[in-house]
Order: sequence, then structure tokens, then C-alpha cells
Amino acid sequence: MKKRKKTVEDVLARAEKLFQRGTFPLAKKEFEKAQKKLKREDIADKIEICRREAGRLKAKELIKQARKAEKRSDLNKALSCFEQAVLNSDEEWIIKKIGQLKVQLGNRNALFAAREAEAAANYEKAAALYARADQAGETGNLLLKKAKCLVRAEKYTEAVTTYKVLSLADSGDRYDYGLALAKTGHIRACLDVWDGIDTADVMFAEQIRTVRRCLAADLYDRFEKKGNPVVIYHDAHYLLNSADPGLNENQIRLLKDLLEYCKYECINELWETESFDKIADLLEPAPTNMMPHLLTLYAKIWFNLATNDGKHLNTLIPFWLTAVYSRQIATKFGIDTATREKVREKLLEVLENLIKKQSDNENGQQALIYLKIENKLIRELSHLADERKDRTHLVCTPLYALRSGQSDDIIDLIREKRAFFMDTRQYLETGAYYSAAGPCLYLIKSHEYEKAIDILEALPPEIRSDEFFDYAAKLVYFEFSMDCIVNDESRFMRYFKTVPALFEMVPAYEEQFIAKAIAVEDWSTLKAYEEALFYIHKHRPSKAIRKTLSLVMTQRAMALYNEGQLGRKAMQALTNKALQLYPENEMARGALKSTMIYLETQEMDQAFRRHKLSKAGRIARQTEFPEVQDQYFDYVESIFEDLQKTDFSQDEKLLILNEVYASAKTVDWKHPVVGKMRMLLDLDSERKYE
Amino acid sequence: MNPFKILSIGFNASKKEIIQASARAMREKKYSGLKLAQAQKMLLDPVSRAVQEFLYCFDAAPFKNRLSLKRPGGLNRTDIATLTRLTIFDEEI
Repeated sequence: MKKRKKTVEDVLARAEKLFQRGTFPLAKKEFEKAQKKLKREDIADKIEICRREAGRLKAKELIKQARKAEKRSDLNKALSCFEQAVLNSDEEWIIKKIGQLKVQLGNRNALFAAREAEAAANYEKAAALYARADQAGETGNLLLKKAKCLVRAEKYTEAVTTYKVLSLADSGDRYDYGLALAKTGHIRACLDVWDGIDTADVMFAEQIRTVRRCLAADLYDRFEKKGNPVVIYHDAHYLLNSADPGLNENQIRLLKDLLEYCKYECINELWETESFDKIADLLEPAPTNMMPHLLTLYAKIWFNLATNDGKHLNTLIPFWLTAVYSRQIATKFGIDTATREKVREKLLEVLENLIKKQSDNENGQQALIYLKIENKLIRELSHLADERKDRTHLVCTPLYALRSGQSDDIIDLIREKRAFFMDTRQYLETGAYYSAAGPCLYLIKSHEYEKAIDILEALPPEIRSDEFFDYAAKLVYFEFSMDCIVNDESRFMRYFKTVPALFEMVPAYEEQFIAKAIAVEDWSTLKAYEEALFYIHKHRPSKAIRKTLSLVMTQRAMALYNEGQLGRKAMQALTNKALQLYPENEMARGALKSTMIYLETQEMDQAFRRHKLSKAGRIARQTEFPEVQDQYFDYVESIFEDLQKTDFSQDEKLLILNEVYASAKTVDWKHPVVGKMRMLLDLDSERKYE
Repeated sequence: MNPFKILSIGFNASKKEIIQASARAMREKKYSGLKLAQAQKMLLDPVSRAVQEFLYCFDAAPFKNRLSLKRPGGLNRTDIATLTRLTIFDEEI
């Protein structure tokens, strides 16, 4: 069958069908076929609609493709797709997207271009391109690359600006930054950056030295232009404390003067604002040798610091006392000696009052002890140095001497002037405080025994040969032992071994020890004293020690007996031992006597109870104590009286009486009760005779 | 109590200056009359004044006078210009 030829209506109908389905490209073709013949306006409109809708679909497809290309970082293809899509779409975002892609593509090209420029040593261009690439968010620290290129291009100011905001971990970056800083006049900042670079490179070390020399020159430039003294001080301090400042001796010497000058400029400013803590920071560490005006400054600063905080009191005391007793400083106190002396006393009073204000706390209490010691010693030394005018500079407290390194000279002076001292103790004690063991003596005075022992034992052996050190050490051990005894600590004997030698040096300590031993009452402390005395007696026997040991032994025996911890016989043994040591021990004698009386009386009592009259009589006869005889006759008298009252027969009574009389007359035939008994017996005999 | 500060005078102030400063301070009424009288008394008595000077005065001159401020030779800030960039650190990268 022959196919029917499509009419224009058929074509139009198909076009309409496709149009309705939304198949616009095909619908457009069919509409165009129909329009060729029909030339109708409505068909023309539909063709236009189809054309527009087909373009829209094409754009949609292109956008899809563009997005896929962008994801693959194929920016060129993405851009091309978007550009085609925009021909069929009037959406604004596509236009924006095209713009962004163009920038991105440009930047990507910039990074390549930058690398190329850098490789070609065109650093300035490379820097600009790196900056552009960085703005595009390219990966990699492009700002660092930019900064480095800027340094290579000798664009130092821009390089500093770029580096300033970056964190630099790499030595190369730090080097370039430092170089840029130096080249732009930030010399100190350059050194700060370079100080963090760890390299032994010789050329780099030489560059650092060059920059340090430039810093020194810069300091003088700033100083001459009245620059900030605080900054100059800190920069000079930094430079002089560098391992290798790159300066010769003369330059260092003069720079030190500049540093000092600026330091006092700073102090001047800080003094006005009463920033004493900041001044103290500038003054630390204290130099070993201080000129009088510097010493005065230290005294003033630490006085003001101690006014607000008691922890500074112990630092203050040596400065203050040494300044106050200084002959040179005293010339400013007044024109005559009397005024100077008054000012000195007043200043001592000021210090004492300051310390007393804080005596409610530990710092104040310790400071008060230290003040007492230091003032006594410096006063002594002041008198001592008076005899040698050339040595007045040695007038200082022991703690000041220790920090100024004058201790040895002072010890020589003390040794030379031994005759000045009242006795060996004063001589040794003064020297001991100025010896290396001196600080331990301070601690002993503030009852810090353990600390004193620790410091003493940590001192190197080579400084222990000195007589003053030896004395100080023995004194520390002695005081520590005494403290252990008082606190009932058994370890006291560990440090007691040097005590006999101390007593030999200064017998006053022995007297002090004896006085303490005698004053003790509780038996546990007495036991420690007894042990200590026994040790001393063994190694340094003396009458006083023997006597004290004897007394302490007796005292302890009595204390134990009184507490029921010792029997009569043990007590007798102990007191006998004490008496053997010291026969003149009246207390022991007394104790022994009363013990003996007690024991004999007890024995006699037992004899009476068992009716052993002759034994009782023998005890009474042989005793050396009248008290025992008295007791015997008290018994006899009571037996005699009781006998009268009993209902025994006369013969029985006479039998007992005869027995008692026979015993009693051997004890004391003149005793009244014996007389009474004899009379009664005589009467009975007469009666029998009659 | 710093009498120099209360009377707003330097530590070299003469007796006349102290008295004048006291009168001025009285007019200013910054401190009580008692405090001003105490400050004046402290500074007019030679012993007390010496004590106050010891406590509160600082004179930087004796410290500075003994120091040399002569610029040492051989130091030139322009030496910075001689620094050329080292490449030793480039190799590390």
C-alpha cells in the first residue's frame, strides 16, 4: 500500500504533539516545515518558544558539563562550557561564575609564571606573581615565597611587611627576615630573629658580628639623639651579654659605661615614680665590690621594698648596716663626729622600727635576730678597724662580707687584732660569723638547726681548715645536739663527738651545758644529759663534769624512783655509782642515806614481826644512822607499853621483857626506855627476894 | 612619709626654700597642717634631715660622672650595607 503523503496539517499536528511533550528541538523543526507553507503568526511564535526552550536545555547540559570539569580542576573546559551556556541562558550567576573562573585561571597561571620568573632570577616579578597566586588561594605558603623573592630583589621594606605577619619556622626564612630587618634599620630586631638560628656557619657568624657592631653604633646614635634610655639600656645589656658581641676590649669597656649611664638614667626616672621593684631588677645582681654611693642606693631600695614586703628584710639588713657604719658614707651625715654618730643611731633605730613593725610574722622575727647579730658584729668590727684606718673599708656585716668577698680580709684583721677581744669566745665567735660557716650560725640563732647542719655539711672540705670555721662547726653541732636533747631525739650523740673539743676551746659552753643539765627535772631528758655527760666525762674529764654527771645520775635515779620505775636497791646502786664519781655529791649522799635508813628500818621491822629481837637489836646497834636507832627504840617502847596492857601472866610478861631488855641494852643501855625496863625488872627481883 | 615629696622640694633645698615650700604647701592644702609641720621639722633639724636624705634622696650624678660617654672608634652603622644575602640556608629548602 502506498504511503500517504503527509499534509501540512499532519506536520503541524505532529509539531503540536512534540511541543506539548516538551520536545522543543523536534517541535521547532516540524513547526518550521509547516510555516514554510502556512506563514502564520502563531506558528512563528511557537517556533520562537521552541528555539528559546531548546537553548535553555542546551545551557542546562553545558552547565552540567562545566561543573564536572571544574571538579576535575579542568578550569579551561569549565570556562568554555559556562561561556557556551551563557549564550542560551540569561542567568546572572553564570556570568559571575565565568568571571571567577577567569580569575582563577589567571592566578593559576600566575603561580606558574611566578615559578618561571623566580627561576629566571626575576625576583621582583616573581614576588608580585606569588602574591597574586596567594590571593587566589593556591596551596603552599606563597607569602613566604613572595617574601623571600622580595629579599632577593632587595625590596627589604616590603619583605619586612610580608614577613611580619608570618610564622617563621625555617632557618632560611628567619635569615632572610633578619637580613631585611637589618637592611631597613631594625638592627636589634634582626639580632633577635637571627639568635634563633642554629648554625655554625662561619659566614653567618661574621654577619652577626657585623650586625652587633652596627647595633653598638646605633646605640650611640640613639643616645646622642636623646633616645629612650630604657630601650638603649636593654639593647646595650643584650649586646654585652651576647656570647660574641663582635667588639674589641675598648669598645666593650666604653659600651659598658654607656650601659651604666643609661641604667642610672632609668633609675632616676623610676625613683621619681617610686618604682623600687623595677630599680631592684636593674640593680641585680649586686656587684661584689660596691662604691659607697652604690651601697647607699642598695640600702635605700631594699628599705623601701622591705617597707611593703617583709621578705626583703634579710637582704636589707647587711646593706643598711654596712652603709650606716661606713666612714665614707657617714661624711654626708654631718660635719662633726657627734652629729654623724647621732644620725647613725637614728638610722639604726629606723631599721629596727621597720623590722619590729613586722615582728608578727616569720620574716620580721628572723630579721630581728639577724639584726641583733649583724649589728653587734659590725659594731665590733668598726671598733677593731678604728685602730687601722687603712682598713675601714672592711667594716661590714658578715653577710655583706660573704657577698662582697671580703670575709678572708676581715678574718685576717680579726686574727691580727686578737688582743682586742675580751676573751677567746668573743674572738672565735666574731671570726666564726665571718667564716664560710657563718650563715649556719645565723640559722642556729633562729633555731633552724637542720638547715644549718645541711649547709655546713655541704661546704667543700678545703675551706674547713680555718680555726673560725672549726669553731663555728663545733658550735653548730653542739647547738644541734642540745636541741635534740631538749626534743628527746636520740640522734643527738651523732653530733656530740666534737663537743668536748668545743668545751676545751671555750669552757663557758661547758658551764652553760652544766647549768642546763642541772636544771632538768624529767627523767627522759636527764637520761640524755647523763649519756652526753658520760661521753664528755670519758673524753674530757673535769671535776665540774664529774660532779654534774654524778648529780644528774642521782637526780635521774630519784626521778625514776619517785615515778615508781626504780626499786630501792637499784636506786641505791645508782646513787652509790654517782657517789663513787663524786663523793662530795650531797644530794647523792642524802638520797643514799635515806635509802639506807629505809632499808634498815624495813629489815628491823621484819625482825620485830618475826620476834627476832636480837637481830633487830643488832641492826640498831650496827647502824650508822641515828634515825634507825630512834626507830628501834620507838618499836621497843611500843612493845614495852603494849606489854603492860596485855592480860599475859606476870611471868610471861617478865619473860618477854627480859628478852627485849637484853637486846635493847646492847644498843644503848642509857636509853630511857632501857632504864624503865631495867627498873621494872629490878622491882620484880626485889619482890621475889622479899 | 617623704618630707621632700610633701613639700615638693629637691634634696638640696636650703632652709629658706624649705620654709617657703611649707608656706606654699599650706596654701595648696594638699596635705594636712600637721603633716606639713612634721615635714618641715624633719628637714630643719640637721640630724633628722640627714636621715631623710639617706632614706629618700637619689642623686644619679655620682654614678654618671665616673662614666665615659666617648663613642668608641671602629663602629659604623652603615656597615649594614656590606651585608650580602647568604645562600647557605637556600640549600636546606
